[in-house]
Amino acid sequence: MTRTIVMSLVLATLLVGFGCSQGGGSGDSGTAVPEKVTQAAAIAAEIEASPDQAAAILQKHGMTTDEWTALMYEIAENAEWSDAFEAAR
Amino acid sequence: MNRSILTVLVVLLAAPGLRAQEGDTSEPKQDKAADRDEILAALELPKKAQALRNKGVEKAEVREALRAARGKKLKARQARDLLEGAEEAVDESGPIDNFGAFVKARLAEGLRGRELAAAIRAEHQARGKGKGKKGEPKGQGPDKEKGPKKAKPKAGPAEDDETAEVEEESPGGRGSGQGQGQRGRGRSGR
Repeated sequence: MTRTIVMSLVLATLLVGFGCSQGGGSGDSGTAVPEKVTQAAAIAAEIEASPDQAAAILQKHGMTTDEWTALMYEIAENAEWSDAFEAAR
Repeated sequence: MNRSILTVLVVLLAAPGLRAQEGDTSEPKQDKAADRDEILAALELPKKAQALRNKGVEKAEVREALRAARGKKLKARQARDLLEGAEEAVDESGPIDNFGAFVKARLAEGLRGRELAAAIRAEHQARGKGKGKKGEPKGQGPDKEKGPKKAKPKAGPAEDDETAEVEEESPGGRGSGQGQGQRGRGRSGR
């Protein structure tokens, strides 16, 4: 009886610990990189190829400068997204 | 005689219109250039943020700093300069605890551009984790000896003055008080 209780407690502790380690991180880990990041990388490559056409390129992709800036901020805030963005450029 | 007067009148009337047209064409050019610079600066943000993280600044701290910058509607150029300034400060003195909270507080105070960069540098010099550690293996002496070595062309004597002012304020004032309060939070979160 005592052994069962002890085993249950150990199991519960392990489960809680595992849950905390999964959810208590920085928020970056374990999240899939959304498609908008790879799309942004493709747009970035276009812009880098023709910097003088930057605004026109954004326009072609239906984005304003403010929207682009907001997206870059969002990507920069996330380590995994930043990695994916830089890798895809 | 009448024709001369008419010609003069026509010229006088037409001149402002011509000037206005010239203005119309130059302003969009400036706008386009500013737009291009903003787009290109924004493009650098992920790389700059990643560089900062790679140099030991916590992910959460970088995120907090960027969110604060976005919240204050900093232009991408300003945010890029902020990250560059922070990277230089980390190179010089190592990362600091609560970088994000520090940036957030300085932004809330209205610091931008050079002033903000100077404040970040001063804070890193005051409590950078790598003070006397990271610098030594590379044969670099204490921070004081380095001086404004990293100062870029934009950093003139005026910036040095700003740095000095901030250094005086940080130890007993806003810098340390706030930093300690958030330090506990940071540790418990990790």
